[in-house]
Parts: sequence; structure tokens; C-alpha cells
Amino acid sequence: MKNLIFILFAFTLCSSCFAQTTLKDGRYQLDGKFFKVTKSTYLDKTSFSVSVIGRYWDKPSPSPKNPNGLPINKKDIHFDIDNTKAIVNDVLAVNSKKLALNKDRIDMSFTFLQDGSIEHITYFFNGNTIISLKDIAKIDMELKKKIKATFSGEEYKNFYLIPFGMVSVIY
Amino acid sequence: MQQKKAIFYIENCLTLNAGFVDIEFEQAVMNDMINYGSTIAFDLSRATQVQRDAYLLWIKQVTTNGTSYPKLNPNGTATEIAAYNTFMSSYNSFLSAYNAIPGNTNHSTALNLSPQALIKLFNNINKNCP
Repeated sequence: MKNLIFILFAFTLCSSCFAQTTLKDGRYQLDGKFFKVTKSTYLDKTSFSVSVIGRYWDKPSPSPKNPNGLPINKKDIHFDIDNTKAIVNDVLAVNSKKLALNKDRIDMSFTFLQDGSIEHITYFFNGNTIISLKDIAKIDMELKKKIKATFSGEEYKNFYLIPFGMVSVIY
Repeated sequence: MQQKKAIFYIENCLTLNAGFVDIEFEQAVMNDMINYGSTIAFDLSRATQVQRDAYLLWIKQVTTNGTSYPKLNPNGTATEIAAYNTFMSSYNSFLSAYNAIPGNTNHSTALNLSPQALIKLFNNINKNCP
């Protein structure tokens, strides 16, 4: 009986801890970075975006050299998308079954610099996500350390910031 | 009389550059809804990260994570009308933000066209169309 009570107590404690890690609107400091979590509801569906507050957070980003130039073609931006997904999966491996049960997903929008390093990643989540900000901070650190892009064509030379678009990890 | 009206309209368009930004923004939103994750509406301008994030979050919601296109009917059921009004309110808010970006070469002094081409296109195609 004692054991049963202990197990139930431990389970309750764990689930409440887990619930506390879900995202909430606001500004947070983690591992020396400031994160902005934004909650948005559109036609009864809630979503979150999470961003590291970077140098162009609320300042205009540098203009392209030619403002009437052509946009960059996605096929001219090259980086290891499979490895990107593997890095995310590694960080979240402990919770992968829960994430699958919750039909969780992460959509990541990448912005690169001319040297191929990552300037910024914006993360998007469903409103019921169970992914914590701590996990997002770890994913952000790992991706910025391990992922680098290369570029082909000419269009990218016009831009200081090179947006790639979305990489999705779906559970 | 008709001729005078036409001249007035053309002069008005030329002076205010009216409608130019509406068309540029509308085609950019079309592209960004088709190519999920693209932010072409804000890539050629000096947008802030806050603006890009908010826009991309809206695109994600409107297209249900890039899996569908919005179906908009201003004359439908109460739910459809509410959905249309919600879409237009967000769309116009992003259009105004886009128009106000410093150095935007597509800037107009008047915003006066509704995105009829976008609405007609997405009402008549599905995401999985060949």
C-alpha cells in the first residue's frame, strides 16, 4: 500500500513538473540568451512562436544591395536537413513517445549569413505542445554549433540575411 | 463627364501610387502560402525579426502548417463570414506593416484594393492539386 501511494505521489509530482515546462507567452532568459515566446490564436487554433532575441529583433534588418533584385531560390541554399532533424530528435529523444502521442511538431525557419552560419532560427509549435523552453534552448545551441550552409547561384550575394524557409520535424 | 472622371482617377493613381503596394503584397502572400516557410513579402525589405515572426506565424495558422489554403466566403454562413473577417483583418494589418517598412520600394500612399485574386485563387485550388 505504501509503495502504491509512493508511486502515485511520484507520478503526480512528475506530471505537474512536466506541465510546468510547457510554453507560455513572455520573455525568458536561458543559457545567457533572451527568448521571446509568442502565443497566437487564429480561428480557435492556438500556436506558439519562439525566437532568440537577436540584433535585428526590433531593428530594421540590413537592406539588400539591390532592393529590386531577385529573391533567393531555395535550391541555391544547401545544408544537411537530415542532420538538422536528427539533432532535434536527439535532444527530444527522451520524450519522443509522448511527443508522438501528442501529435507534436516543430517548424523551424532558418536565416543564414553570407558565411553560411545561422543568424537566427524561429521555432513554431502547436498550442498544445509539450516541448519545453529548456529543450528549445538546447536545440538552438546545437543547431547553431553544428549546421552550416553553402550557397550557389548569384542571387544570395544581394542579401546580408539569407532566409531558407521551413524545416519541419513531425512526431 | 466620364472622361473627366477617368482623368481624375488616373491622376489620383499616379500621384498617390495607389494600389501598387496592394498588388505587390498580394502576390507575395500568395507565394508565401504556396511555399510554406517562405517570407518573400518581407525578404526584400528592411523588416524586423518581430515582423517576420508574426507574419510567418500567421501564414502557418492560415494554411494549417502549410497543408491547406484558406477558403474565404464573405457571403456564406456566420462561421464563414467570421473566418473571412478574421482573415481580412490580419491581412490588412500585415499589409499596413509591410507598407510602412522603411525604404520599401513598393510603398504606396494609399492602400485601397482588397486581395480578390488571392481569394479567388485559393478558393478554387487545393494544396495537393497536381
